[in-house]
Amino acid sequence: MNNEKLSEYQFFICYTRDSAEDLALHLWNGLEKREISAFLDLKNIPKKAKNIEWWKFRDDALRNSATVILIITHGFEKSEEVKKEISLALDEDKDFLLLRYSDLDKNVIVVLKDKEVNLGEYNQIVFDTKEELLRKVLSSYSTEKTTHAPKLIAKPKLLSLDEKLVTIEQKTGYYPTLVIDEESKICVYYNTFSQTIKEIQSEVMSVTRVVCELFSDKERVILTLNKVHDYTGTIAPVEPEIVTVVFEMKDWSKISDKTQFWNKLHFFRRILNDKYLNGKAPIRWRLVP
Amino acid sequence: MGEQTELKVFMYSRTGRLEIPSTDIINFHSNASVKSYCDTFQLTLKQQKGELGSLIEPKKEIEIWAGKKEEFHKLIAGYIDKIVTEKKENLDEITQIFGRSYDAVLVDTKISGKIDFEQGYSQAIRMLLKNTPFSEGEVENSTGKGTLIFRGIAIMEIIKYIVEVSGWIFRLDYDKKYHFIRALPQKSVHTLENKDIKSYRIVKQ
Repeated sequence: MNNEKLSEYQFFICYTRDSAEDLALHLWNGLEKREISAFLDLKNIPKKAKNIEWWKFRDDALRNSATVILIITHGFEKSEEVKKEISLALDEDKDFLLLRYSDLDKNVIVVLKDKEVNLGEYNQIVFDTKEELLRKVLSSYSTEKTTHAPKLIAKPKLLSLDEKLVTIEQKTGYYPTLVIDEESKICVYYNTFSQTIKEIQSEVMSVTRVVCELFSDKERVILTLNKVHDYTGTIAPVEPEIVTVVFEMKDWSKISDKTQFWNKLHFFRRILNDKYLNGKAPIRWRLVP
Repeated sequence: MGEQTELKVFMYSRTGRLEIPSTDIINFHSNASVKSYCDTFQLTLKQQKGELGSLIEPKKEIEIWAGKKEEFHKLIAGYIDKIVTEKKENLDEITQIFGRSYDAVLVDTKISGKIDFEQGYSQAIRMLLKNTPFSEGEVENSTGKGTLIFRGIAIMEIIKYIVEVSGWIFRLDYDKKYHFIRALPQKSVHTLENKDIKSYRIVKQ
């Protein structure tokens, strides 16, 4: 294991080898000549570290860089390493400097693990040649443009799961106690504070609506309301006990009013709080006027 | 007249397992049901002295076995919840022990966190129980990707919800092993016939 301490870098160069290796090398050489520290994987990862956790050097270097340069060329957004570097840079709240090859459209969309980032929505500098790329980076550096470069942030509609849960809380007042997010369905479990049937029904519609809006890519939304719980489950003589609400997303477009929405919801009640039969019975629940 | 069923009670110390003399057991009652994940028991003993006496305190592990001669099986095992010592005039001092099966840990422990699973709910269950005193028993493999997020909720509540969503069965046995299996209808392995029934009593409630 090489314990060489990484120095701090002014720039971290993020690029795809397929179409920008020559550009990246030229840029790195040009910066080095001017004694501007920059990290380039081809140059700065110690040879001994090749194939042995090389990404640790890369990640440490990125964390220790002031600005991340994105050299946007053909196939940039498809590179898995580029995605990892952008994700880490976003997590680390780094400044970015975006340089786009003139042949490309400005709307380059990078699909990260839990969000998409359209690079077209942020300041970009267009270049044609490797010399022009170096010139523009030096120019940005000298005028400290990077200090004021806008941060890349996810678009509001592309929220992470955690952000969606916070949104549910903001819009309904309930933060789910438990959530299971699967490919085709979202299961939300929360403790209700409503006191009357009317309140609960209104709350069911409100929470279901918000969950449907936030998880529109799912086929099914399952909501479980728990009124009173202890280690044996919910057996207190209160209404409701545990009620599960199921909504099929295919019905989302057919809803025009409150009653119609209610009629598309399916309700189940746990009939026996057992661990083996796991019995649930469908119930008819009329909407209180 | 057939032989009487005997009880054996064991406590655990740092040096090993200690048995409470069967002559000191006054009364035993347990409540285990399909309605509940957590079984309870109540044991009344003559007051214990020495090392055994010092072991009888809340949170200590206890095992109750039942059987005849050498054929004993574990009736219940878990932790002591509460102890009541009682002394009546002209009678020896007695100790009442109230306890719950091992599930009590999962019922009482509330957690917050996030689990990403790529091999179905079995993986989620394994990750949930990773830092508990329990080891893996029969856990069937499952498929499916997903994320589980939980906030200030008992581990058992999470498991119950997984059971509800998956339709699988979760069980924690008296050997501290957890099981998570598909809920398939099981065939009866033995049918009792008329010749097996010596006498009966029918109670309707």
